[in-house]
Amino acid sequence: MNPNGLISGAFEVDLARNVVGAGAGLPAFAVIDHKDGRTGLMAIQARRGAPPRAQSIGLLMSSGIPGIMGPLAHGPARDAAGGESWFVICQGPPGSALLSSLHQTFEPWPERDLIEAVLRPVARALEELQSRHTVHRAINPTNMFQANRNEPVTLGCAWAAPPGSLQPAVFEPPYSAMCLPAGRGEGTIADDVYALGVSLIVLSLGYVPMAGLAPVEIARRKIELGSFNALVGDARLPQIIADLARGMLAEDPEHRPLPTLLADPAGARSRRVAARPPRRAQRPLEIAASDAWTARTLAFGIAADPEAGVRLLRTGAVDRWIRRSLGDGLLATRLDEALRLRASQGDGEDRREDAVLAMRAVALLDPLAPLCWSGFAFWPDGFGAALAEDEASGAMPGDAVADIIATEAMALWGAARPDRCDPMTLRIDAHQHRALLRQRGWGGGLERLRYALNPLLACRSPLVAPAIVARTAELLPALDRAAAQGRRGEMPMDRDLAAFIAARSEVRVDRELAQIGEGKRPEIVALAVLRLFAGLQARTRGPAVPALAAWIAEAAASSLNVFHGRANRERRGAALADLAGAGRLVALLGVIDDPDALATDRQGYEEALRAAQAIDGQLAAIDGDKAIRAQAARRMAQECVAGAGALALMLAMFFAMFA
Amino acid sequence: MAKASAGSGVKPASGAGGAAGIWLVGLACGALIGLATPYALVAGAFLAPGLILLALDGSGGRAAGWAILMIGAAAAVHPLMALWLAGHHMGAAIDLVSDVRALAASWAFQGAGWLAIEAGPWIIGVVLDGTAQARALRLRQARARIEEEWGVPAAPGSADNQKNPEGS
Repeated sequence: MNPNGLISGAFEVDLARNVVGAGAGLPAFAVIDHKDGRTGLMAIQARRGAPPRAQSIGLLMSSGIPGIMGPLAHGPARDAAGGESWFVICQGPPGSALLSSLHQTFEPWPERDLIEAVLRPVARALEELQSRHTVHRAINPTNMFQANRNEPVTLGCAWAAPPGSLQPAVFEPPYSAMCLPAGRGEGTIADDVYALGVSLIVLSLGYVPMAGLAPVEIARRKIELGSFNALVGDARLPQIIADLARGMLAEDPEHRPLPTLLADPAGARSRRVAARPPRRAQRPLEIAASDAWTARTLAFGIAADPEAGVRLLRTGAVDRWIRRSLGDGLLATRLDEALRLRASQGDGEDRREDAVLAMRAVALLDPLAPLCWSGFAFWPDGFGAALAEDEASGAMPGDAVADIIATEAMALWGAARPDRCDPMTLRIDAHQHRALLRQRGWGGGLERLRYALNPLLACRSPLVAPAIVARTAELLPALDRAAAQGRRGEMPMDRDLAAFIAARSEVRVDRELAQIGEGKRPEIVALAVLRLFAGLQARTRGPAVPALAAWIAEAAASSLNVFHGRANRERRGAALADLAGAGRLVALLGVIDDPDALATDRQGYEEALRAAQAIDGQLAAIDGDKAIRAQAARRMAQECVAGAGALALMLAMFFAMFA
Repeated sequence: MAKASAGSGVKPASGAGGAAGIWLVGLACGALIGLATPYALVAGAFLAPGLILLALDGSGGRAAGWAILMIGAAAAVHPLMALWLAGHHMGAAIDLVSDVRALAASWAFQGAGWLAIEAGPWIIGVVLDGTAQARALRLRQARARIEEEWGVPAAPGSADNQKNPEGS
């Protein structure tokens, strides 16, 4: 969090002022702009585990789009619960939402208002979004705002949660509605056109059809009956709205009109693509407690109950039904090929291979369907957001995720429907995901993949909690605050933190993470952590982190043992303590990680070793020279006596001769 | 040891020379006894301890015997000069040999020389060992300083190393 509590150094979230109903399902608060003094801004509070849309925010933040409450800034700030949350700042709504609740009934809108106040302005906004290669994915009457009746509506904020995740299922195409909310993916502008079409129907009808139904049931009805028929039923709509909505609600996204065309409703009405209805079987095939009459409904049944689907596939019931009742020999042959592939893996029970078979069968039966795995459905571009969801909140279980990645299911799914996607891109993505999952040690695995696929997912490490850390620049200050509050463990690093850094770092940190992951020697781990954090602080030009520096200095003190020289070690230990107070990790690293000093120290040590060996040699010589010393003593004694005798003899002779 | 073995190594060669030397000394002594009996008597009496030690000295070169004989010779100069001045008579020789004080002084000097040769190595050895131990102490202190400063492993067999043989 910014030290002054402001997002982007300008925006203060006024937690006392709720902006009710403006957050598209998320809490919204008024914002005070301390920089430019703008009014009417609001902050949408993102949920933990449901990261904001980094790409769309990046694309739209620089310049706004008329008719859309585009993002202005985003970042962490204090939330109402006293913790921290991620907020997306955007322009506030110009008025109230068209609907305050999906369960309310209201006076149907006249055709002219629908076209002039809703269709045209939203189509123009979508056209702009399309030109910027992004989508809205939260179009519904509760997220459309109008200052006064008859004025053009403004689309609400859609950037604070994964695309489509907060969208009511009724406004989503069936192949998106059947997905995990977080796994609906970015989609295409055709999905926004679909949501706009449903919104037009809702405003024409004066109520929200299927409002009380579960998302899966809504998807089932739409697939069985077709979206338009499922929504409108026997109700009557203005003819132009019915014609437009029929095209906008086409099951195949490629058949839906583009926003450019919708800006001219008359033209869009005349150029509607008539889709051929799906081939209907002579008799149904019962699956998942319902009857499948078409390949689509069979695919939906297998997606809903893959075990039953696999059983029907392996007993040949599906093959017989497709050949005899549906009369589609080509489809039967393709399914037969998928069955042979499954048989090549062995006939025994294999949960993973059965899931692959069910996924392939759904993709072959209905190429419009999302990736369906073990009862869960998601679009590959929503896989990252689906991973970010907590398991407790209904996300895919860990073993299903592991199986999807291990089997490179996305590549297999793309290969089964090559006309509907780019199989090569999916294959590369799947391969990368698998490589990351298989990466052993810290900085790899599912944690790394989760952060790699979600650029704004907050770090889940308890070391930084309750702070929200979604970018590397926020990591060290958060750890510093934790250290200052006394929340210190043995080392300021854990598996989640390592994965977060590995995913967010612009440079390769694999070597340091491998050293940390091995964890054999505390001093090596501490040095690797310091090297990692120092690099991070230098790259992000982060603020001083004295508490964190003290924490690391304490942990890394044993790293100084690489220096043999005691005086050098003591000098560096003192420097470590001094520099920790300044909070600059690069300087701290320089004290420990000094190759020149280390080489000099090594040289000194070798010289000391040689000197010690020389002393050992001399001591050994002293110990071994006892006998030589005794012999020398004896010789010296004899020589002394002989010398004395010789001297006495000379003196005696001298006195004898001259005295 | 090396010197001792070197000495024993040359013994056979010097043994022949030594034997010849002894024969020559014996011959000279015989000639001296025969031709100058008074001088032989005085020299024999005054040099007796040195001659006995020379005969008993088993060390190579008989360094101790010769050193004692040198002291004895110094003590015998005065009586021999007196005999010379007295006219080389046997009576004078007997008088000189009968001078117990002079004879005792000569033998005492030679005994002191023998004592010095026997006790000297011990005293010198103590001095030499003390010097060596002082040097070893200085070296050990220097090594301890190196160990403390650089963390060099303790010397094999040192107290530190015996406490922690793996050096960990």
